[in-house]
Amino acid sequence: MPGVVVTALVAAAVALVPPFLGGTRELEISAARALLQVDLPAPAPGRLPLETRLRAALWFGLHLAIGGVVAAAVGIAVPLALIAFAERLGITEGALTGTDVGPLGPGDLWAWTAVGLVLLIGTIYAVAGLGKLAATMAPVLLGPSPAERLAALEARERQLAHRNRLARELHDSVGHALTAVTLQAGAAGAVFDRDPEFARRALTAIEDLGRNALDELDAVLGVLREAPPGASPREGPGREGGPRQEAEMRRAAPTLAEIDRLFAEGVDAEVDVGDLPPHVSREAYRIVQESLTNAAKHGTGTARVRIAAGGDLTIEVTNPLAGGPGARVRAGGAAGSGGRGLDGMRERVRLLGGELTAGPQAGSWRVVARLPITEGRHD
Amino acid sequence: MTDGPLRVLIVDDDELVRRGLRAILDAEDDLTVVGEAGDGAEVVPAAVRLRPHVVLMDVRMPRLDGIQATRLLIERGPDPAPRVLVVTTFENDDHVYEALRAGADGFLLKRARPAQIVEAVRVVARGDSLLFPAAVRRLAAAHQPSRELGLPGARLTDREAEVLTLMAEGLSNAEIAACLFLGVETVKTHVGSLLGKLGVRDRTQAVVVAYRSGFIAP
Repeated sequence: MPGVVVTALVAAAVALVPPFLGGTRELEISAARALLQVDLPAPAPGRLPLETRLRAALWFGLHLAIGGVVAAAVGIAVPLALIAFAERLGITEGALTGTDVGPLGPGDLWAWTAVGLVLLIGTIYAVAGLGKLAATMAPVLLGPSPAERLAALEARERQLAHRNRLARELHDSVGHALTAVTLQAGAAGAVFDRDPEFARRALTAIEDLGRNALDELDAVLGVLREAPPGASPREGPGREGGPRQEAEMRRAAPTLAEIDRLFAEGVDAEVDVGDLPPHVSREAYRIVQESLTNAAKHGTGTARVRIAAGGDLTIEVTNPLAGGPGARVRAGGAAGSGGRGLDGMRERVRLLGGELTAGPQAGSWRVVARLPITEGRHD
Repeated sequence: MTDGPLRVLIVDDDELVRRGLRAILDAEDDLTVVGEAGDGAEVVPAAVRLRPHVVLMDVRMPRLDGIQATRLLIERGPDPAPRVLVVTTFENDDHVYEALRAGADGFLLKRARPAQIVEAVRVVARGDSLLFPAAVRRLAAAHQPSRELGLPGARLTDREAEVLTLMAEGLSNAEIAACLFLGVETVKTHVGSLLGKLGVRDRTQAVVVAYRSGFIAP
């Protein structure tokens, strides 16, 4: 008897696993998209919340149960109709012996045939109806939860804002380069006879300016082009704009060339970079800026900044956590606005083809970003 | 305004832009570049030291932008304050109008031809006509206030109102004189008195105020 219980428990446990697997949900979503023509968003990577898992499991269970019922109905209706018909024609003999259901006995061959046919037609309609019902229910049970939807929207908004910013900076930067080119050329023309040396230097400057602007165009357009389809750069609501932002925009976006402005007292900095593409340099500046802001908010003591350029640009910002080595890091890492800032940074770095990690390490908070130093792509 | 060449101070954070402007202006006999500044914060000390007649002022600069620098220059700079000619990369830059409101006397696109750049410096230094009236009109139209404010503290005579209207169209003193059958000196008197009544220091400012107040529809 205990053996039966144990077996039952194990069987139940084993049976309960598949409905809750992320893979099952993905499979069900693919099936629903292909078979029901339901417009479901692709499953998001990463851990699913319990609520989403429960809904997916419910769908899986219903799918299985309804599938079983439909299979049984078809399995009964088709043979029943066939056999009753065959019996009538005398092809088989006594196949319905023992069928004594309500008013119908083994002899009512026509009635049995009719029952089989009605059952068959009914099943077809029922399946069609269930299909419709499934199409209605799929988004409810397999779709993202409101929280996930909101998170996806927010991520998209951040991405749009970032793309807008990239585009605006590109416009500014290339416009600036063209302006300098025009001025240099005009000046060279104005003094050509009197000061050929100036004209020669102007030509060199023009060549460099043109080349750098093209490199940046290539690199940034590459990033903008790789963004998901439908993400047209239009003015996103939210963080863009506002008087402070506007004053900020009046200045050209800062690059690593101005990084010293960020190093107040209590920052130990080591910066060793050569010439960088402007978009990488600007992003690096922003990462250091945000990391130091977070450090000032949540950490104590001296923040260390290391920026080095090899094949990639590596940025490392560490600061001791408040409370020393034993300090517990609150959920969400640098917590509060820092957490959101970190998400934004991570997304932007990813857009530029790099990666960013952040977390506590030996009593310190450590942010490490790696940005590929891409000049223009030649494709 | 002066004997000898016009003294020009160039303010721009980009060295290439400064070098280009300097070469273009220094090529003229009546202009001389007396100095350069790489940021708005350096403008007031440089102006006090070098006494320029005209400051070529970039709008976007890393520490102190051209709008604030213009304001500072007029408040704390040498007296009389130098004329400020804003140089900008983009014409549809909101900050150009801000700079004009802050007291700049005109603006110039950095991509202008060398001859235009040189001429713009001269026009602003003379102050007897409006630089690029059509562009100022466009800017004013884009920043039209939602309601009519009325000219601040001003009671213009009919004649002064006429002069202001013609000024806004870009006519020089001599042209206004011809238009109204007046002597040039009389026009200058009217201009001086209407600038005083509007509380502004030059005709660009007068025209900006005229558009802003709704006295003139763009």
